[in-house]
Amino acid sequence: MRTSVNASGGFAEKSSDEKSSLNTGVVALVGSPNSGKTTLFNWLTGSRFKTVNYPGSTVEHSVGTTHARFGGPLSVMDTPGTYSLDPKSPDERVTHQAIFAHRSFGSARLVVSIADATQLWRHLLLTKQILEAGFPTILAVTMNDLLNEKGETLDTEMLSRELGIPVVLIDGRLGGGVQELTDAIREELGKGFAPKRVTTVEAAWTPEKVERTLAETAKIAAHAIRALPPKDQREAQKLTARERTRQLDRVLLHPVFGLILFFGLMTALFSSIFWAAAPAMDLVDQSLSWIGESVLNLNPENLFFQFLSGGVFASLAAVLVFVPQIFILFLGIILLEDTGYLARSATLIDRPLSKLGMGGRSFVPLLSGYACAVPAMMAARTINSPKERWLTLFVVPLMSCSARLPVYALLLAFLFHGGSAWMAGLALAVIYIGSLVVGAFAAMIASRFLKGDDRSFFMLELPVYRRPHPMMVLNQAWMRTKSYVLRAGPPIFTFALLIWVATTFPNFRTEDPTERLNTSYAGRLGQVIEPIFEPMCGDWRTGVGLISAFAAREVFVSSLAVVFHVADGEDETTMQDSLLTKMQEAKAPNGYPLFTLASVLGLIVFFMIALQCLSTVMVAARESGGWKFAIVQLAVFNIVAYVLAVSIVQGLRALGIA
Amino acid sequence: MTLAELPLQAESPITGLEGDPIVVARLRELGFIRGELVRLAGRAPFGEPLLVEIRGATVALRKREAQCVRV
Repeated sequence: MRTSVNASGGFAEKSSDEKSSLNTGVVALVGSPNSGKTTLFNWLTGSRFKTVNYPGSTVEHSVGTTHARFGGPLSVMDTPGTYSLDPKSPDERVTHQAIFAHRSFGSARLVVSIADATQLWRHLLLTKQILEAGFPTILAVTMNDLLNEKGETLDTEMLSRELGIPVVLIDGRLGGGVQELTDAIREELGKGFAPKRVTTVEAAWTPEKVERTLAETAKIAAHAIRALPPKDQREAQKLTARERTRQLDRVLLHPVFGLILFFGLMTALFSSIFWAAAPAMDLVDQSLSWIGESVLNLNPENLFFQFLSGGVFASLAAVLVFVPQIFILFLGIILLEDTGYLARSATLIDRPLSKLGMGGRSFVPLLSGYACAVPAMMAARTINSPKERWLTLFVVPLMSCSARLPVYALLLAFLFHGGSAWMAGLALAVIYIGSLVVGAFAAMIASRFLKGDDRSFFMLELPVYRRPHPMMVLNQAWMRTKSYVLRAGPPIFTFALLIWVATTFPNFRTEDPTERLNTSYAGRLGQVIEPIFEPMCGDWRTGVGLISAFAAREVFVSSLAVVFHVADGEDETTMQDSLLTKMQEAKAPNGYPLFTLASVLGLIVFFMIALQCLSTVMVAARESGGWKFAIVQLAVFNIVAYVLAVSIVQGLRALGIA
Repeated sequence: MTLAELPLQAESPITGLEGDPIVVARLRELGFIRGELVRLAGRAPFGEPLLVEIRGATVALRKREAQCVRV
């Protein structure tokens, strides 16, 4: 059982799980990025729940209950990775707040401090800070296998004596030591100490004190780590992980090969987001429309069944149809992260992005933006500089998210109707690259409006390359997809339902769906604002499509189908063809064709820039810490999109291209 | 001299830190303290960030951050 708790409010939900832990207190896992903290959390909870750290990753804390095989349940909390208790980025602040003053748990009852055996001296600094803050503490040491590989071993008893706290070795690959850890936690909790008064300590940690402590921890680590006896040493010629990493980095961070490989990998990831996800998306889409239709056929006249079919199931489809793409994206990011390549990607891209006022840590948010802006904006929490973070949040909605794909598919099918498929494919590639260019321009322009206080830093540790564990990667991708659906699903679903209401009422009794839509609230609104769409060569029908697109952009396609009275009963395969024919026949009020090369290009440009996703607006407000940013972003993108679309349509017309 | 000017592959002990307090504080937490040996292991494509080795760990630093480390 786990619950993901949102650090800053928002969509957080509470389960009975959490309430019960109020009494027993929560055990927090705290450690540096890449220390194996989240793997330990997965073993403890048996859930393989992953909130990865480093860009794209653990930006919130998760609470879970230990698996039954480790004895009575304990509430454990995974936190974003942090190097110290003196937070320097929003995700580190999440950790700080979660252990000192959680809004429902108070301060943590006990902290498990996680340290990488090969980086012990550095990671013990955090342990020392936790101890000084007054938390009962247990040290869990990970990556012991890498230490053994170097021909060294850790004396845990010695370490335990030196620090005065229990020390447990954790094998992240096989889950060894987890039982020992839970036993140790229970023993510590059982000592029945009244929770000590914990105090935040960042002021006490002067530069001199940090240096002194590091000198001390270096000494402790030197005592506790010793060489393995020669008979236990592996063959000398075998490379250690660190040496392998050095050799690999020579290629992967090479000025030429490194970049070629980076672009190759990104191309592979992108194309798989589209091609590998397509069959699964079709399956989701078709099964939900089949269910919707079957439900409607039970009683087509009844409003309730219409609500179930057109409202509930269609809205459910709007949420679920993108799950395959999100899953593949998360899978890719987790693979990149677990192998250690993600930190390299961020390093490779840092310089180009810093020219645009962003940085390497903006990489994962921007990449995720191609699937969905909601997780992308959340991933921006790992960015320490307010300016870089602001710019990243600002630009993310311009990345071509998956909801735009069906819209582009329809509009390009219209433009290249009867032409060869590769032309449309090429045009789609141009749109995707175009969205990067637009994003770069937006960042450049926006960064001029920002005050110069740029205290950004990059400073990223490059972990050793490791072979990922396939089952863990799959489980983690699944858990993150699930938490995404639970987080982003409800608002998308709700907005989709609202749009259904607006497009159905008040004349819901009308049999003719076109008539019903035309006289609906949304239809009337479309007619009122028709003058706005005229310069774009649109009429009220385009307007209705664009208004419904606020539920989710792809709803544009289905609402056009309704507006143009594309009957449902027809053969499925001809649905798009029949919509395309209707679009070709459609006439604007002035008698000109409604959809022309110019007006369709205008629509494409509009969709590239316009911010039509209300879920994104909500997340933008939350992540930026206020509505001002979200509203400015909403206004700027929609105004710019409109102005550009109008200029393109009118410009092309002036050139004699209708 | 600062870490940013260190020749490629050269190793040198840190003599001090100076500059933006936040950057310096984070560098210290990453183990960049007086007396530690640092080595410039390479540069990322485009010449930045720098790849710096310290006690077996590799850290990517922008030039501006490396300039805070005196060697």
